Amino acid sequence: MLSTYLSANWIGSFLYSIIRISTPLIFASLGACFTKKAGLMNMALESMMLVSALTGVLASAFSQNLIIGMLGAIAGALAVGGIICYCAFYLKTDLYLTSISMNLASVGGTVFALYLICGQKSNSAGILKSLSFPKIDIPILQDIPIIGTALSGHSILTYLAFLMVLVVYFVLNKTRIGLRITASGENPNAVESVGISVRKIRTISFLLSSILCGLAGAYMSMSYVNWFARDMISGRGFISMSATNISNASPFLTCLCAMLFGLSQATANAMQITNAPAELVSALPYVATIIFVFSFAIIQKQRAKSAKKKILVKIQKEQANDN
Amino acid sequence: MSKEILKMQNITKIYGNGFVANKDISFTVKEKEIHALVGENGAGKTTLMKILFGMEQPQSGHIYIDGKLVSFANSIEAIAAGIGMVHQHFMLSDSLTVAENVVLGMEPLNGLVVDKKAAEKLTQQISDKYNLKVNATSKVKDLSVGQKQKVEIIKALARDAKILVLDEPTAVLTPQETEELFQQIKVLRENGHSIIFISHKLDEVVSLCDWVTVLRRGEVVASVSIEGLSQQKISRLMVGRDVVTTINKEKPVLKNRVLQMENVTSVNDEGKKVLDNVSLSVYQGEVVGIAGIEGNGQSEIANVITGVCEYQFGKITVNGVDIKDKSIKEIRNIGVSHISEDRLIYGSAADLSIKENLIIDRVDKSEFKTGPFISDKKVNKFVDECIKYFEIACDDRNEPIRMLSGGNMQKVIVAREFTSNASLIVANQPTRGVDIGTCDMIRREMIRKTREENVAAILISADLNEVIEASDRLIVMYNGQIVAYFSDSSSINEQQLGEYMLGLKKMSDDQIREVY
Amino acid sequence: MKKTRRIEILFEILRIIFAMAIAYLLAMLVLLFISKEPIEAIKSFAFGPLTSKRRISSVFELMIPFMLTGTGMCMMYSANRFNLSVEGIFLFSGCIITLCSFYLNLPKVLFSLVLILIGAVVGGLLAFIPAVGREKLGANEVVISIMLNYALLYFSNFILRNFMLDTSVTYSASYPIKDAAKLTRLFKGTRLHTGLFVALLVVVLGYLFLYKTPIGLKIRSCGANASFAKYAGINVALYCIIAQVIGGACAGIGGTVQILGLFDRFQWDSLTQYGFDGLLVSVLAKRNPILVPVGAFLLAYLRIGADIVNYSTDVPAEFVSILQAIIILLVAAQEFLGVMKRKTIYKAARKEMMLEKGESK
Repeated sequence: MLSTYLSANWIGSFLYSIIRISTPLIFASLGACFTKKAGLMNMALESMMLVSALTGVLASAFSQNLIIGMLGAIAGALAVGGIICYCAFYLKTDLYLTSISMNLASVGGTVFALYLICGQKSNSAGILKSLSFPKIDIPILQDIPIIGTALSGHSILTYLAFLMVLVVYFVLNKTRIGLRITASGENPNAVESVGISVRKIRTISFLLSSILCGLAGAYMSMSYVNWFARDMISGRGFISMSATNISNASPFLTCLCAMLFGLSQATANAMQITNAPAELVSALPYVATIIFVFSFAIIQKQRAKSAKKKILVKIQKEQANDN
Repeated sequence: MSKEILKMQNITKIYGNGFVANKDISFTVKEKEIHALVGENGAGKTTLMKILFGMEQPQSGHIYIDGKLVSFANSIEAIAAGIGMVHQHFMLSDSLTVAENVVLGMEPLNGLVVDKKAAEKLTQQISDKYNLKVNATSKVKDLSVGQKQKVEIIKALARDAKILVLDEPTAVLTPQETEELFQQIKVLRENGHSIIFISHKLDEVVSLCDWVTVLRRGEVVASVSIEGLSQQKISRLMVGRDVVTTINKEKPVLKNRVLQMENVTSVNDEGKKVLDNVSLSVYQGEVVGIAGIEGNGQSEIANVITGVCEYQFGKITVNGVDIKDKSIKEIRNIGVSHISEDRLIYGSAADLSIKENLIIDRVDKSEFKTGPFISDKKVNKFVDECIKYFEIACDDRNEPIRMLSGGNMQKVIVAREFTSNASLIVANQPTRGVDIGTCDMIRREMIRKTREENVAAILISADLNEVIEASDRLIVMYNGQIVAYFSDSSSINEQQLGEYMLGLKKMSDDQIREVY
Repeated sequence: MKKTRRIEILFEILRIIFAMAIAYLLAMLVLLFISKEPIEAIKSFAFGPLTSKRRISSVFELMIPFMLTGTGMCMMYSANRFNLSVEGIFLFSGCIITLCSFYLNLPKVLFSLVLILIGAVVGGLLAFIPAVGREKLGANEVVISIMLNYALLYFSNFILRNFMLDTSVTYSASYPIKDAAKLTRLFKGTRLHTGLFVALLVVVLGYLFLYKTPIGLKIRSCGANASFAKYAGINVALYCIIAQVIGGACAGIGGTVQILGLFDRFQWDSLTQYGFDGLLVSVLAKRNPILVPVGAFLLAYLRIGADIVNYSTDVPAEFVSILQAIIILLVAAQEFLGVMKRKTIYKAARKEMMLEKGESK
């Protein structure tokens, strides 16, 4: 039993599945980095992903062109982002409330659209001839044991996700819009006082976020599986948001955190073949997220506490010396 | 006669809550002029300037620059027309450098990337040209208040501002820094800039400015050359009566010690000592004033006494009870009340009613309850008394407090804190941003409470005239330490205080110890 | 100034009416375009709920869970917390009380009351998890509560499959719930049950609690401005936790009442959405429990109308979820009708200014 788990083949494919599962989380959590830097929380990652998963499938099915499929997915996410920005920044609704209601609307709305187009409410499999992104085998690398199995043969979007880590880092730290996003997150008045509209910066941060969520959605319905199913995001948006929050919107750490969450889902999947109760195994990624978020919060608190303690001890010593 | 560079004509502005901030205002600035804009709080100065800077749209009226009719839909258009604004609250991003803040919105690019070298060069050039002495590569969070203000000025100059609006620039500066700023303003004038100088400090207006426009309740009451004008004359125009800047009060009769702070040190989360070995006693029947430039530990004194912040070393007792590790509520119950520094953030909840804001700290008391419920009858009686005694102008006790003007909002907070039967009142900037009438009333009531009701009071204020006039004894804070102690506030002047506030002078430990 | 306040209140009401009207119009437009029998569909949607005794009663049946989760969300929302665990709690407490009912034997009425109490306790305890994460550790309550909802769904499935699955029926459901535990039906021929009174009681108690007790005022002050509440000596973390726990308890009662009132067996295998409906109701009710029945009625009417459309025509009921979002957004949008509101205020102020000038002359 144990030996099956320790075989090189198994380890390789386990690592492969972590990367496969983490891909949408990486995209979405990188997207959340933009809004987090702008001082806002994007709680609509969920609906952006769900809508784009559907629009991606539709666009690719009708055009039979992958690029159009991808653009369709991004357009779907942008539409969600646009509505949120309009409501929250122009009509001044509460941003949380707006995002939550978008999440609700997208759950019902996608089912509604699916029914209108496919005549059924559960999924598009077999009805829509949507495309999927090609898998790429990396020469030489694929022949190395374990590493080859783990790193080669992923969807092209997976490699794009890792590339995006660098892109997001570059945009946030080196470009004009990145500077403005950071400044507006720290002191909106600073940006407003030089005549840049904070509303515009926030809108841009949400739209950038949407683009990445669009890619996440495209991956979900055109790589992870090859159809659209109702509710197929099931909390991944929120998991991604946790990854961004924990890592304080640093793109590299965010990617790492997303993979940590990917690990818990991969573990759950691996356990499906054992005789552990299926329902409990399904609950695992969610419970794990709660535990991660709690533990990081506790660790941060402890760290702050012990840092403070150190300072206090130092000051106490100084005062003792003075006397 | 030099030409008119700016002309604002018949400006009327009504806010969303129905408040008429500007009524038919006309306002003209000439080239190379330092033009003072004065008026009580709520007179409409800030609104007028926001309109000039495109941050607010007037319902009617026109703006001319250099004789040309303009209209600004947003700040970017105002900036493009040559208007620069140095706000009262700094508009800077702390973690970015000076240069990055300066070029924000007009970043030089090198391909896709922001060219930081070019930004630094530009910033340093302006700084050197006007002798502003700011280092372009330092992070804003490491700068002093005075330096941050200079960054704001550079920001405006980098955008080729011809007309520079300075909104109460000296409020946060020491007398020495103020003097330096005045020199720099004059240099700007020599270089062809026009300056609109907003201030409450009439002596500054008289010594610096060429022309003055006085606003009262949203209207222009005078726009005249400063020559031959006295401070008294201007203040009479501002309030329509002579302002009493001196407060007559009886000598205090000190009784029991209420507050005793002994060697208190408080360290903030960044590891900085915000209070450094502070010892202080306050007795029944007196007002102890605390002067200092903002951010030198005055607010922290208020916050450790009231339990808002913790302190790590030393001992604080109120009425003989050690308050270490006690909650804010427990400390309030021991007899401390607290007028906090910002009425919108800490002092009130905008959407709750006047009534709810007044009783929030005492709803648990049986005198306001019937059974488990809040008794409307009992509460209303108390609230109506407060509204009457403190002359709170409102339509109804159930209206949200956000509907009140700043002064009336402050009166609600003061009413709450003054009626809580406290033996120690900690008043942190109690009169900031309120009209002179309300200021006067708050100060008098505080002094009356110490004299007639045996209350002890601490008054923290950035208004030096206020701390000198309203307090009996006075300490000066610098860098978390008490650097000066005066047993009789009336014996000092603002200039002397300034030297201590700036850290140029410090009394001996023995002299300071006397306050304990 | 008094005028200003009146105008504000007027526009608040107008906003709700307009939001509903726009949503309805939009719904009809959708029906017009996608239905093969649009007139029939529109008629069923707008007036369907009034066409029979059973349908009228089903509007009220649906109001029961809406009122309970709505009051629960009012608690959370008053403290300005978006603790969405209400959703998972509704489902999970239904599951737990079904399980408990098999181990208890009590006389009628008392049996229901004990189960309702258990549901409330379960709800309170579960809501405590995101609450404590937020207040004590600073973890985002939305994330935790959403994750909790999914976890509770799977736990509930686990309990159903392993501890109370009735293998004698063809679908996945628990053993039948004892009659003594069930809530009484009010009228013959309808399914309306005594849970209505439980819901109304919770609404009234919720209102008294939030608006008439010291704890309620403290909770609302934490929601209105937490720094202010802290400076006034209120233990913000404590009162926010209290609000969320009580909100969770309301949801727990909701799940219990729903199962005991309408079902013979526990058979929920996916989230019920009643929690999110509660959020919508609390937004419509402007966080005030006393207005919850109104919000619940509006939503229930909309929903039953959609259901009728769903089974009498060719349009799926899911289209209301988009309408609901529109209603939430328009009601919550400060700037919706804002231009009109400001113009009215401006006019009133101008008039006053003129009057003043006239007097002074």
